[in-house]
Amino acid sequence: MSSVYIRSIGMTDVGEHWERSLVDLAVEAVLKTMEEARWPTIDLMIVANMMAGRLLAQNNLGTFIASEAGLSGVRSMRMEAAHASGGVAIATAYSLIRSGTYRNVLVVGVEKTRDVLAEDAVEALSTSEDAEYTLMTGANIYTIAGILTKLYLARYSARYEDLVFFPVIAHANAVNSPHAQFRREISVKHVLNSPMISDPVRLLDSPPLSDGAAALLMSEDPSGSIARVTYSDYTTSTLRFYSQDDPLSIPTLRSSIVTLREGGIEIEKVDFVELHDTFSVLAAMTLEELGLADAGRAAEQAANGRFDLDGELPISTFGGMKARGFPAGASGVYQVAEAAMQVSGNAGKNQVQDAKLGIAVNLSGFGSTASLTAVEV
Amino acid sequence: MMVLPTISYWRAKRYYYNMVGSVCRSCGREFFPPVKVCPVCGSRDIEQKLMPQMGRLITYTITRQLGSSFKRFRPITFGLVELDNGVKVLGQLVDFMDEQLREGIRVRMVIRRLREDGEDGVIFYGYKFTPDEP
Ligand SMILES: [Zn+2]
Repeated sequence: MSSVYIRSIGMTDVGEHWERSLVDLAVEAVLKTMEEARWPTIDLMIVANMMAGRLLAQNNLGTFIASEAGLSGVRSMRMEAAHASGGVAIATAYSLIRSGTYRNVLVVGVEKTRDVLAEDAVEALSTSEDAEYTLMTGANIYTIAGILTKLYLARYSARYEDLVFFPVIAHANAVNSPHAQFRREISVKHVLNSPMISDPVRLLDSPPLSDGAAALLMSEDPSGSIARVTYSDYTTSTLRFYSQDDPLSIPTLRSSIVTLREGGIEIEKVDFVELHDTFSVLAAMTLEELGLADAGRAAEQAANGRFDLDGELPISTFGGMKARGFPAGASGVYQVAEAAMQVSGNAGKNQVQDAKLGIAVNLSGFGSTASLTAVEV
Repeated sequence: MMVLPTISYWRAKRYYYNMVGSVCRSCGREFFPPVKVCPVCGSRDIEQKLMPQMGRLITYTITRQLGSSFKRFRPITFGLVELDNGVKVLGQLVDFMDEQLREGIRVRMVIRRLREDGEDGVIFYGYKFTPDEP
């Protein structure tokens, strides 16, 4: 069985790139990655993107970005799985390399959400949900986050003041994260005083709108590699979070843990987790579903420092979706690039001590698609 | 920018107006929105079924940040409702006084205007929920 290596990574800063186009950002990430690996032959490029067709009226991103990056003639296509596009692209590259189909696959995630009005971006970000039966009622991702957060707090008698330690941790980790969108600390008080967007969820407990691109060169060739991908897969369920037997569970993740264990990786041994922490409730649900926190206890443990950078189980080590930023379709690629920086000892001031194994969880919506990638030294 | 193309709305209209869902003839489970394949047992022996008009409010939230199609109606109160057949539905709550809203109250389905399309003047109707308690 062949292994899969990350030979190089490249990324733009996450933020508001008013002066640069989607293609500009993607090409920067691709060129950095290709330079670092000294331009090997690429068998396939996968562009992970959620919203360009809707927000920028641009499709055919595979060919467009490949040709603009000097890779004309290479197989190239766009992968869309809403906010999990990046994780699904990486899982696809992983399986194509492991099966021996391709030797070098370049994954580039790119998103541009700041070129349009925020209300249009929110509507586009919400297209992870069912247009005919969820969005038609007027609901959006904030509505669903509000409802899930209320259900979580009620079921476990948890406190919102504890739950919002997740964005507080994310922002603390972003201070020294070179590519993060919000490199400043916030307090629980800041979160609780920020505008209500869908009660009890506050603005500072919701994902920012971000532009950015990140790329990974995944390969069967270990020479000069910085990290290994030892597991990458995804599963799907229903778009209707509320029709599941338990809206607070992420059944897609539960099945990933089984196959992760079958692949020889014990979840208890992970040194850090890159979380899909767009909303605090999702961070808590994910940690609990993975068995990394007891049901209903994640918020309290966040408040007690367990998930801090120097805590027992660091999370979102470069700021996560909340503070590194949330370039939706690219966010899963950022996560794995960050995990590679950790296990290769290149995380600078954010280095997790003795980081050997990290996992990245990238979800669409509220877990309708769940991808999980393990990165090891 | 639109939340749903007009033609999609027209196609799904009868489901919005009456909450027509599905029942699986193999396992008996009911679903809304309607399904083509039973997500529980995999059967394709599915019949249309009118959903009950009554249910219980599981929880609710007031959304203040809305997308471009709905921002005129800001804020909107949404409820997660468990219909009397056990099916859960997300929908707007209407015709209530603030002090009436409590988790667990009985609610009834009503048909109300969802929004109108500015350009071609199409009015979109659909199900919403209202408290059914004194
Ligand atoms: Zn059935």
